[in-house]
Formats: sequence, C-alpha cells, structure tokens
Amino acid sequence: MWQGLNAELEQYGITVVTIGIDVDPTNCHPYMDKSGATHPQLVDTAHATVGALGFTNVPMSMWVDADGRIVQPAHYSPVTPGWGDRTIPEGLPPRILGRFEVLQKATDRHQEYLSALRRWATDGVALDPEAARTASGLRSEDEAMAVACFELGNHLRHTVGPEAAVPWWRQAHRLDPNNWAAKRQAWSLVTTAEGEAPDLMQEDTGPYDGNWLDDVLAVGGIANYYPPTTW
Amino acid sequence: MITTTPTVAPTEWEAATGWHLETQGMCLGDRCVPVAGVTASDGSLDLEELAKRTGRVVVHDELHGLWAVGPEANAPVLASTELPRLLLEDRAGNQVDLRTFLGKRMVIHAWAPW
Repeated sequence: MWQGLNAELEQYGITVVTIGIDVDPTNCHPYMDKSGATHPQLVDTAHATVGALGFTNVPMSMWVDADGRIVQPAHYSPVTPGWGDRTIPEGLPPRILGRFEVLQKATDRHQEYLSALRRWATDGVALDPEAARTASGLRSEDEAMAVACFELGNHLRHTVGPEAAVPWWRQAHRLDPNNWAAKRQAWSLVTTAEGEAPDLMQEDTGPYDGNWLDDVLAVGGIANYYPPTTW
Repeated sequence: MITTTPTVAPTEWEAATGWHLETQGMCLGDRCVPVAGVTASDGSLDLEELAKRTGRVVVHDELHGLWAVGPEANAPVLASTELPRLLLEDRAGNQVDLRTFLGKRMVIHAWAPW
C-alpha cells in the first residue's frame, strides 16, 4: 500500500520512508522483500523512534517539510479499510472471537486519513513546527522512564540473553501502559517461535502481565488504542 | 543511550541526545544548561547530574553495571521542531541516518511485523 502511495506522492515532491520496528531485523525483512518498494525502507531495532518521534504503536506516521521540520507529529495513520465489514469466521475460540469483535468496533478512518495526506501533498498546509511540537503531547516522567527501561532490557537481551530483558520490559509496561510498541514487541517474542510468522493474537504472553485483548479492554476499548489524532 | 559508567564523554552525549557543548554550557536549540560541577578533570560528564539538568531520566541496572538515559520528561515528545538525527538499519544492515532523506518533504511511516 505504501509503495502505491509513494508513487502517487512523488509528483508532489514527497518521499515515503517506511520504518519497520522490531528488535530482530530478520522479522521485518520478508515483508520488506515482498513489498516491491522503491522508497527507502529502514528497520528500527532499538525502538529509537518511540523515544525520539513518539511512535508508540503501529501504524503511525509523521510528516516532515522540505527543510526537515516536523509539521505533523506522530499520528495514527490507517491507509487500508478497517475490520468493520469483514466476516468473522464461525466457531472461533471465545477469546479470538473477542479480539475480532474489539477490532470491528474501531471506526474506519482510512479514507479520512488519505484525504488529509493528499490535501497536505497538494496544498502543503500543515501545522507550523512549534504547533507540531506542542501537538506531539507531553511525555510524563513515567513514560520517559519506560523508554529507558525498554532500551536497557533490549541491550541486556542482546548482551546477556532473552531472560535478562524481562524485568526491565515488565517495568516499561507498568510505567507506560500506552506504549503498545513495547508491549506488543515483548509479547511477540514469547508467542512467536523463531522463523514463524508473528502470532497476532498475543494471548499466551508468558512472563509478562498483559495480553492484547485484556489490555485493550483495560484502556476502554479500541477507541483508546491509538493516541488521539486529528489531521 | 546505554553506558557502562556513571560518566559520559561530551561527544557521546551529543551524538545520543542532540545537546551539544558550547561556551555557555550544554545546549539544544535556544536552551542551555550550565555544566559547572558536572565536568570531571578528564572532561567526562556526570551522567545523572547532566540528565537532571537537561530534564532527562536515567535508569540504573546495578546487577549489570549499566545506565540507560531516557528522553526528556514533562516536556513535549518532540524535543525539537527539527527531525532529529536517528540511526536506523537498511535492508543490508547498514546504519542510515533518517536525515539522509531530507531535501524533499517526507512521510515517515512506522509499521511492525507484530
């Protein structure tokens, strides 16, 4: 999808840069290879974009002007239809059915987002950079600590072993329950065996306290799964 | 930013945080904080004190002898209106600064396999 958008936006002098977030880059490579992308494709193995840019979940994006100034901070960026019209298969286990039901409650905003993106492409009107900085939101001390805890855990995962990451990642999850990137990353490493496709259900999350369905319900449902966004 | 000592070289701090040493202290944009009392005789900087003065948080792992510096707390998520220097990996594993692609407008899009 982003390859198509890049082709469309190029005529307006816009480059798409996609960033796959995963502590293991080989988890991103198959998707990058299949995409056929001609735009730059990068991998963030340190979750550095979470701390520096505010990508606390995916899909999220930001817009940058030609002078390198951020004019739309990190925001939810759906570009494909939501789950509302999809048929849920019959006979699913209750918790998997619960996940589908939660996803179906999400408001489908992809057309609204694409319109906003195309509007910026053609008229170039966005937030002024200071307003964009303000709109990026205030990061609390706990949220900042969570970023540091995640980085420490990731460092220990590579230098000591996977178990060494767990206490710090648990701490990160506790400090910032809305950093879904940190939680989904940790859960994925428990639920997905090496070389297998990611288990998107993320139910049996081992040493971590949460799981996708219960944590989404705990924040009040899918409407609160992404930061509040206006484009 | 991970360190194995409670001190940090100014260059290392600059590369990791965007703050840089000037005559009036450690600066980012139009903000400067003094480094008096933070600088050791060998020129290294006291990590926790420097973090405190620049509003950043530090987490210490005593067992492994590590310090992790987090982003600025009680401040906008974006430290600056300018896209920061950010090293990421390309498909071949090379380190690439996100700012490499400046010169045209950019849409930076984050996705994940999980």
